[in-house]
Amino acid sequence: MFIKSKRTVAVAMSGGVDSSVSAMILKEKGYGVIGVSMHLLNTGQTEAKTCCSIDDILDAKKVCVRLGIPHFVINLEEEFKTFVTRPFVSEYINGRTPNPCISCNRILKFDILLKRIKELGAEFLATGHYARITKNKNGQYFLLKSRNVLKDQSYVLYNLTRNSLKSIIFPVGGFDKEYTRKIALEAGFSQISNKKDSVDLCFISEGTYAEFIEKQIKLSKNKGLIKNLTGDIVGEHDGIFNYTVGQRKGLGLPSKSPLYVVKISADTNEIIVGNLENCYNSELYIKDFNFINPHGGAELNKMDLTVKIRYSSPDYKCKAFVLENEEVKVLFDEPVKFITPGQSAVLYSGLKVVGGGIIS
Amino acid sequence: MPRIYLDYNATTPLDPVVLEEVINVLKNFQGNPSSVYEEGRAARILIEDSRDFVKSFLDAGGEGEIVFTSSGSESINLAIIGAVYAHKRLNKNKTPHIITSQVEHHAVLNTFKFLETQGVEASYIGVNEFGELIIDDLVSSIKENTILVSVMGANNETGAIFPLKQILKAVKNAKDNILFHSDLVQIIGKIGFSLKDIPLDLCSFSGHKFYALKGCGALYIKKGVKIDPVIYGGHQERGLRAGTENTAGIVSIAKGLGVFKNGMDDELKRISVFGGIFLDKLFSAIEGIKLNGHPVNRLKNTVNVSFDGVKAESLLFNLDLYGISASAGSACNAGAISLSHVLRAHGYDTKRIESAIRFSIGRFTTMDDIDYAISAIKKGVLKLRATPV
Repeated sequence: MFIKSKRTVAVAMSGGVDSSVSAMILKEKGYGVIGVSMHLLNTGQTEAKTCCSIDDILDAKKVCVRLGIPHFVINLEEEFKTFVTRPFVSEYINGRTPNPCISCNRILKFDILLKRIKELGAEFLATGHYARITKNKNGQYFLLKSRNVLKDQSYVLYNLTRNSLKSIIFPVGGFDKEYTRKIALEAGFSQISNKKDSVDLCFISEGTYAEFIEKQIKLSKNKGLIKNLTGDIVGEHDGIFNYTVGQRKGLGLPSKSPLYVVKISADTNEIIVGNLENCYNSELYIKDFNFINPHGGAELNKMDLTVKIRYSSPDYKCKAFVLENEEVKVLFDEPVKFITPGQSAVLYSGLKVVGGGIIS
Repeated sequence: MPRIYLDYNATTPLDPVVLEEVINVLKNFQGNPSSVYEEGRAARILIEDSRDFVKSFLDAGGEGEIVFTSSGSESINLAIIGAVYAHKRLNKNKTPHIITSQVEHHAVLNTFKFLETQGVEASYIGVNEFGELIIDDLVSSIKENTILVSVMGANNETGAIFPLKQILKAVKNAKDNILFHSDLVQIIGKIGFSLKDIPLDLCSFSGHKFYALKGCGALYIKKGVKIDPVIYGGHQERGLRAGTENTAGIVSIAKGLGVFKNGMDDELKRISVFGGIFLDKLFSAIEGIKLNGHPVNRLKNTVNVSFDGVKAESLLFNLDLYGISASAGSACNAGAISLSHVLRAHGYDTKRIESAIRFSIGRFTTMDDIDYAISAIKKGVLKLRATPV
């Protein structure tokens, strides 16, 4: 009774092509596969175009039924509110620009979901991310960029712990996206193979993020001043959460040369604007830094480092130091523009992810 | 892997006798019952015979009508919305007030919520920790403009049976022109019921809870009770429900009730014994569990229990992997489980609600099924309790 012969993997299935193909591959390899989907939002009605909408979860279910594997929907509605949407709002209110996908991955997917799938008897959690995990001969695990660096998603995975790497599998991590789509198509999942990638914030189905925040805080607009770098008042704003460092559009300020948001000051409720040359910095500080690299922060000085300062950012050459307060200081080889507090900065040594944290 | 089905309150498998009859109808009675030629007449007769049978099953006498619908939910919508709209049409300028309990199925609760957006006042009466409706609370919430009370016959999650006869009497004593509707989805075809004994104005039920087809339901309307349709079109079902009749579904309802009636005494005895054994074995096999709902006045097929220190969601999924089907709370379209509003209304703490699972047995449950299920539940519970969270 209840004999289990195969090693079991749970695949986090969004209904998209990457996680669907991940499940196919693992089944093919002979694992016992369980599909799991996270239910994050209670929209009441089927509001389309969100990463965990009912339609997407039903797509995941269809794939699982056709593959002959179980599919379970894990309800993480409360957890999503607590760990993702509420902090998202408060970060903006505090003048920072958060990336909610980072906390969703860190807490919901690779902590809570990882625990829940172990309760189902699964040893491993697989996701459809484009990134790779390798093990060296000393048994140390590394997180690597995908082969196709344009599709690489290691940036959003920097919070994986050295311990959790052992339990995680990225079955399509080394593929080209086109190859993944081809596998889905050849397996007869033509609709899934054509699905568009999700790009927008999954919990904002209509309107802008700023409207979402206004709805959440239910405050009247918290007007404040826009100043230039010398402290002159140049305009008014409707609440600092409407702005992001580096923003140029929508400032509504008359000026000879283009103006950019240089700084957001939550304490004084002010937006500081300047010219493009004021937007460059030669250093940044990272808090809540998570080292994936097995050596921790010990050998930073021996590595050729690069840093990404947002999801779509280039790799900037840099040096990095662990400070006494455990923050990490990054010195760029050349000044970099639009460093945005609240976004994540991720350090790489070649293809390897060293670690990352939140820009302070 | 063999499957053991312990979710009869969600739906039942087709009875083989019903299935045979359904196949016969699908093959041999394909006419539109409203057509004026032979095929139409043949289908019409099946439907009207079914209607007569259902009426006699309910002891309706000559005093009422049966409307066939697509589901229990549709019947409930038709009863409640239909009664409110008819009242509004006949009594202009008056805001009607309607009353129900907090532990109703969403079919009732969300219909009430909808009507609240349409200028109707609604009250929701609570229950105590055993799921008992406090009749005094109900009576004292009756107002001058109260036109309808809807109270379920038995709760789908806990199986708690409501003393409808007393509740009906108390309501009619307080104000005799209030319409009384009951959601009898968990009663009809499951335990005995007679309108002679409990003369409801309106009651709704659904075929797939008594081994008939899914997608068909019925509403009983007492003679003289006025309701407006909610689906407009042709004049089917005496103008109360447009749309070509589902002949096979309607026949399956009558057949399902017929099969139940023939074997009722034995079935009730068997399910009562099996339900009792299931509960006893569960409590002796596993420590730290609580029975939810009413210990005595409950459908004996329904066992709703909370397992200390276990998340119902995880236990359910584990049970599925062991081949056992059960349920918890209410599942949305995508299959996510949300916390039970029914258990919340009992005043239980969140931990108890989060760890509650409903098992419901039925006609085809065997003693072996129960034994296997108990050992699987025990295995699952012990495993989850040993998993650090």
